[in-house]
Amino acid sequence: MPRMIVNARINGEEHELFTDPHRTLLEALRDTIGLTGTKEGCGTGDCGACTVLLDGSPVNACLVLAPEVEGKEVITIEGIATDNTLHPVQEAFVNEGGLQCGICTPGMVLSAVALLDRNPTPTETEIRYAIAGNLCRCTGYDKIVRAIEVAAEASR
Amino acid sequence: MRAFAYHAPSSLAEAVAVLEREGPGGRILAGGTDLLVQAKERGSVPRYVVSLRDVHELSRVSFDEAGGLEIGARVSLGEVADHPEIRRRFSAISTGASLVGSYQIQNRGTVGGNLCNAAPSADCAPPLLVLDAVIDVHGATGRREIPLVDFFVGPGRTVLGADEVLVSIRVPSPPSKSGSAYLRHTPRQEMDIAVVGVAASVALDARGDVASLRVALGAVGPTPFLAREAGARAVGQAPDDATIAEVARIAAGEARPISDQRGSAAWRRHLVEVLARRAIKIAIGRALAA
Amino acid sequence: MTTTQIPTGIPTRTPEADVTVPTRTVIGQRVPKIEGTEKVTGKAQYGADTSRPNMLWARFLGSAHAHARIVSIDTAAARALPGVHAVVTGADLPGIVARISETAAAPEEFDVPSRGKRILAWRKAVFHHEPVAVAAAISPTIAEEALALITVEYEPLPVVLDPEVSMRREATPIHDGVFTETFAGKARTPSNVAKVTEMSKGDVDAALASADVRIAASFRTAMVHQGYIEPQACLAEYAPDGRFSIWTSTQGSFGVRSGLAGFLKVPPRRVRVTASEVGGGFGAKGAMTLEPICAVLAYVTGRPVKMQLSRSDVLRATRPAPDTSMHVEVGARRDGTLVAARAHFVWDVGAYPGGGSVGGINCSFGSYAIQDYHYVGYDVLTNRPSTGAYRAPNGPQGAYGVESALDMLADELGMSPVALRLKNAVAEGDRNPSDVPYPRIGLKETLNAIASHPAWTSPKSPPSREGWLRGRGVGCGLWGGGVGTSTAHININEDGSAVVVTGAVDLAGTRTTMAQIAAEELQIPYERVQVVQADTDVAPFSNPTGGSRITYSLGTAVYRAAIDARTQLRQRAATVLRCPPDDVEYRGGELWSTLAPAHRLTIGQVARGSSGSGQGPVVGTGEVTHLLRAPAFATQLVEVEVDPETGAVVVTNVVAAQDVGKAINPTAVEGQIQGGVVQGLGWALTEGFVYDNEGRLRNPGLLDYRMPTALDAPNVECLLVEVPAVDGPYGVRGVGEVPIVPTLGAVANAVYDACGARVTTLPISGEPILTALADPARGKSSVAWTPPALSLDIDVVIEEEVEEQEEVIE
Repeated sequence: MPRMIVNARINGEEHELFTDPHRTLLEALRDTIGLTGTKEGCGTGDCGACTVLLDGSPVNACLVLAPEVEGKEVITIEGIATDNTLHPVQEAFVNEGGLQCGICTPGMVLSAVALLDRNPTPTETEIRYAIAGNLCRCTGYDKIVRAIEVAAEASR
Repeated sequence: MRAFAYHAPSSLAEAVAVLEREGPGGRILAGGTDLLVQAKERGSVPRYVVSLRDVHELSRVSFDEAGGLEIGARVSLGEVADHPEIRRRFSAISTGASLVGSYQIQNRGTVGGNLCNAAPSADCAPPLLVLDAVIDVHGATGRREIPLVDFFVGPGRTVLGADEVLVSIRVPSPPSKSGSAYLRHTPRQEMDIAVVGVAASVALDARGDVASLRVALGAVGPTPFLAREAGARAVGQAPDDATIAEVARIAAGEARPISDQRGSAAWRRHLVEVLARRAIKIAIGRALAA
Repeated sequence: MTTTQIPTGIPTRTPEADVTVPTRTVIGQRVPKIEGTEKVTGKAQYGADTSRPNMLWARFLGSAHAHARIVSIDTAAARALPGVHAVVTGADLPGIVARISETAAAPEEFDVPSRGKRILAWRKAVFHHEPVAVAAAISPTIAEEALALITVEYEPLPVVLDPEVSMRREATPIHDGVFTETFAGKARTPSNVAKVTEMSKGDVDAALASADVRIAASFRTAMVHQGYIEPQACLAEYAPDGRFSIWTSTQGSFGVRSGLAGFLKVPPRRVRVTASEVGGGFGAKGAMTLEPICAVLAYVTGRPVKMQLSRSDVLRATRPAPDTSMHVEVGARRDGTLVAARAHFVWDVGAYPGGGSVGGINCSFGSYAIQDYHYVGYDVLTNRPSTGAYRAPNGPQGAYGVESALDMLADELGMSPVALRLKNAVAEGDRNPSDVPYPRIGLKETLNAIASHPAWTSPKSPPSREGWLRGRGVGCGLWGGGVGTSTAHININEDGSAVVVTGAVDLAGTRTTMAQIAAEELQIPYERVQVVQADTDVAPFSNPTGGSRITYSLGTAVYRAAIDARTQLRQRAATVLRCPPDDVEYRGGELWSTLAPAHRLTIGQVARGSSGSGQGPVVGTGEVTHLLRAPAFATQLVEVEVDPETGAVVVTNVVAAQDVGKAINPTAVEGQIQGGVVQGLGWALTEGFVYDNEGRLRNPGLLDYRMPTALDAPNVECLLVEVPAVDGPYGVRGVGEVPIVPTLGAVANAVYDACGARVTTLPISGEPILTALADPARGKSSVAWTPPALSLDIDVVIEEEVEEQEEVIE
């Protein structure tokens, strides 16, 4: 099948993605427009490293076909900080030691941003539930949970 | 992932027309969270996919007392899990939907997809089985209804024809004094596949005895299924510990588990008994509170 | 989460003491990670993030059998597919290497049964999904389609998956070129026992016979994976000048350079390696994986070639940690004094030699002073993927067996498990199983920290879930400490800021810690120090990052480089100030002559002046090749709740006490401890490879290979015990390995405490608990194990001395 053009708003900009129809949103972001901040950890929706916001909701970009985002809004990690200012969630991850190797961090940050958007005062259990689909192998999660608590506090 | 073609029809009729025209080797793409995993990891790459992306008529959830609940094929698991009416009246369904994959998966995956994928461990299936769900299907020869109990054929296989699209899942309004629950066992707290899943629904009569009880089992047979004997045993009995224990024991006997990487057959049979007992208790508690 | 830093009252010796160093300001501070902003914004570049113009994509075809002779491989159809630029099999490699190196083809070199040599299967496949062929194409899709067009004819061979079967004399050897290595020499007959390691002292039979109480028990762990979230990824480019450029996710860029140069038979100058950010390594990215194959493909195609493993490739065909059978006997006097221990460790090292041995014994029995002992380790081959390093390699398995047996002993003696451990804990001067004396160490301090913690001293709280049972358990463990070669340069900029250049790979905090050390010694603000991890053409040499060696060893190099820079600054300032260098005071970033304190120079002024004067710019250098090992000990308390009806386990709390020597950055130290503990919890409870009878992995994805999620992980309270190490700066010890060592045993002991189930196989969660509950004989002492007869017809004496501890990577 020939390549197709997919129109989507990515990090606030209109993009025309020229893609094979069987390629995923993850591949389109990384290989077509060079947004490599979205990571591939498993390709099967089990690790959350490729989490992006699709019309505001976190999804695994590895399990979304590129043509599925036609007419939709996609936010990746590159679209979270504005004007060289970190988002409070990003700020808290840096300050609280909520990252080590950093490969899960983009997805983790997006899950946290989406959580605080829908629930600005989450409990620890709600935080852990919201990031249960984002595996981290370095931190043991403790400092990530603290970072999200601190970000929630700061956003109030 | 190997290549395949992509179609995005804008109506149900058009989707069926694509399936008819393109012939075998097509798959319906709703959320894609199972389809793409199978294409990547198990080499089951479709020749083409028909996306429901633009079929907006399938993205509705509706409920009314008389007509019951209807969940469109494109409705996400997350929407079902969080729907206040589903949480209140169809607790087992909302629990089942809330347990599939992660939050991210629930934002893409659908109840319809969970059923069509026909995994023996599908978390939405036992709850829908105990609540008498019916599947609405549209195909080349028109519409038909399939009771969910007749829907599954084997692992990954359903009665759906190659030209048929699941349109919606309909569930009748539960009677008063009824309740349902779904429990599963997984080694992890989240992000896991059921080693065993058990759903129960209970309706009590005016005297407070069991008017009907249904138990459905997941991951202990080639398909999710109703444990019919177990349910029948309880009718007319007081909903006490002795009845519950007896029903759970019979349900365990009805299980047909296999041993695999998720657990042995013996352990699974044991878990059916434990979880059935617990799920029935919760369902009775909900019926009494209803 | 709270952290307690426990003062030990032992003064720190600053190794190269300098009288002008004032009270510390940056050491011990919780400064944020230097590269944190890059990582939270998605700008940090990992292995798969680099691309080159005209790049091709490579994918590999894995063996369909766990053990089979490769009769033929037909790649014609794959080569003919439009967009495919190369298809390479093992048989092609000798010729390609010969062309690259302009030497004669030497196929016999590929007969050596080594995973590093056999980057593609050679004549036979010895584990399922072992790479058999590789294709490079203009897109990943076409590369995958090419693989589907390759026809391989296999002649299946018998598959052996149980090391205790494979090690028997009558078992058919997987390789005809593996001969058992022992301290005494090498066997003449091929065997599946790659290595036998023995450590003994005294008369263990007599000592066991004289013991008041004896315990004999067997334990088995599952093969587990390091579980790094970033799959291996590599990009290789070949230039007409004969040089290879490699961008790769590795723990050691110089290791890749020498390894690749060796494989390609070219001098190291023809290889330039740039290490990317590493998305988790834990030991696995210390060894080469994709680099040789990408280099070969880049050479063959003349185009840059990128390769990234899929998750199922990672789980099926990289190097997991060995599963282990352990048979442990311990004997003690009535008062709890350990008098004897005997143990056999059978490491299933997979299809190629490597991955087992000494560390596991030293990391487990090494916590206790035992008079008479005999320990034997067997590295045994099976038709499973060859294994490699995983955080404190083999320590967690060994400590699971030893710590479980000690708990059984404490039970038998009616003694507190903490008291039993305290009674036998090693201290300075005691010797480890390899008979090396310990320098100053802090095991007892960590035990005391747990012994006095409320989680241990207060009565057990009731379970939070109805019908569940609650328990707590302890475990100890150690890591002998990593050393090795490190080098650092520090350039002083004209504004008085500093750039530290190293060739060591930063896995999760090195840059930050090194900046703290440089800032401390230069007495400038932390924010004014940059740390650059440079490629192998630019950076000074460093050994790979691993074995918890970096803060200790590279930290020493940076410390020395800073002192060197400071000395140079004083010399240059002396010229300006017209006084002898000894009279130059250096404090707070300023320099002055003690004879005329009013005239002050900033570091920037000195640096600016000297770069234009005859003395030249200030570049401090520091290197270290050997330090005394600084063993690190830990004691952990794990609390669990168990559902006795289903076998479900929830970990509710962990208290982790660890001797860290000196916490340069407590946040980073806690992060290492918490991460290690949670990996240990996964190993103990839910992780494990499951193979079918044909040797195929049944759970090659992250849904069924169950690493803990945020909901499974408890809060981990860290007790940072600071018993300063005798060597290295500030008393620091490596902290990365040890926190995973005690966890497995502590979990098993907590489960036993909760429900009386002594689970002797991992992972524990679920069915094993019910099985143990149903069998009361389990958890009691049993008959000692007798190893099968081996064919050790040794006649070659190995000349070189066996290292007291393997140089292993994290």
